[in-house]
Amino acid sequence: MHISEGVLTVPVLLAGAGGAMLGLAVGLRHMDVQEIPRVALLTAAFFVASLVHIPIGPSNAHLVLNGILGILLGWTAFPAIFIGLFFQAVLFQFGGFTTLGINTLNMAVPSVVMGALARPALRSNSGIFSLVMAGIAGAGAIIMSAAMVAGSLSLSGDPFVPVSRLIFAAHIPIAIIEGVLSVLIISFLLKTKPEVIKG
Amino acid sequence: MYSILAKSVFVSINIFLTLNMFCSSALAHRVNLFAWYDGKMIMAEGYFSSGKKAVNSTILVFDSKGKEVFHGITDKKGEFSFKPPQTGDYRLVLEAGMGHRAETLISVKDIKSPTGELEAEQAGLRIAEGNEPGKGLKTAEDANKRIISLNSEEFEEILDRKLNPIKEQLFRLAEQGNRVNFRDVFAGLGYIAGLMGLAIYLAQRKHKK
Repeated sequence: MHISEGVLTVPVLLAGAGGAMLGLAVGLRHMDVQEIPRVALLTAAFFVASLVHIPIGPSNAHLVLNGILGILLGWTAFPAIFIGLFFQAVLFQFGGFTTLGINTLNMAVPSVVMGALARPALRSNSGIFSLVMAGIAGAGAIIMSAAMVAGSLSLSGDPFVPVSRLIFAAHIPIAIIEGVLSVLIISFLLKTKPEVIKG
Repeated sequence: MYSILAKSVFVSINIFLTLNMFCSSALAHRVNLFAWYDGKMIMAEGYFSSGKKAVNSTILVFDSKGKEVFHGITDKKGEFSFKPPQTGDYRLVLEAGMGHRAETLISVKDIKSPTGELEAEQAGLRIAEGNEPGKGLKTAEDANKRIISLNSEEFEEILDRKLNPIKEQLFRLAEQGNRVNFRDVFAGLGYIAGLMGLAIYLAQRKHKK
């Protein structure tokens, strides 16, 4: 999921950086004082999630948690993912500084989209339906991120079809796991702290 | 808000417990390239930071002017080797697919191994000595035998046997340096907590104004 330094062409990197900055601006505008601890907590979760490596599938893949971030944060997932990726780049050398923008975009846009999709269902008291939506958001965010990674690679010259096939194959197990994980986490939160979601 | 903080502590403890289970075998998602020059060939090995070898990955070799001089694919062990055409600096780039990429620099000083040249020189000297009148044919033969045995593949084998453990140890050291360790994880969490404090401070100051 993290694109390394030197893989993408300059226009793609610049477009990614521009898009990420826009998202960050919107995200920061949505973040008031009461929101900050929640954003920080989920940033921390995102930061360590990439260390939980899933040994299934043809390649190395790890948890991303961007679906859950989207459900719980909405637009503020942008700053959370940006900061998480920044520290992953500094401390673990995942991704890189030039690719920080495009990586943020590739993980945060699905997060915001899937969050927006699932939040109305979660706010209504519709039991099973809200859990189904949480699962779809968790898995869908990964699939959408994978598509965006494939897209950015193909814009930089890689042939789209074989690359995206590889990326999808690698991320289907993760998507399933994250779907299940978001159902578990959301149902736990709905039972114990519904105000976190309905807020 | 306090309940959120309390929960954040709870969740991070949980995450750490899970991490503890995963960390020994599974550290994420980065590809490394390790290369050395063995006197004849440039050898390279690619592996992910989880320890898995980078199999069937493309390796591109560029010379100091940035011109591509060679490209190939890593074998089942994630290894790759090629014979450099001339002395100079080479840049090796490993592309493991899906945006994974690593590169390393390697400089080739002597195409012929220095020991080889030395041996040849010595051999010439000894033979010359042997041909001098006053020295017996037997010594020349002896000298030649000794030199031949040094020049043979056995010599390289012995060197390999002696050097391989050192090479392996260097390799492991480099690998360890590339791994994610707990210090980094805690450092990152600390920074995030610090940033949270800073953000709250700034937001509240703005609020008061």
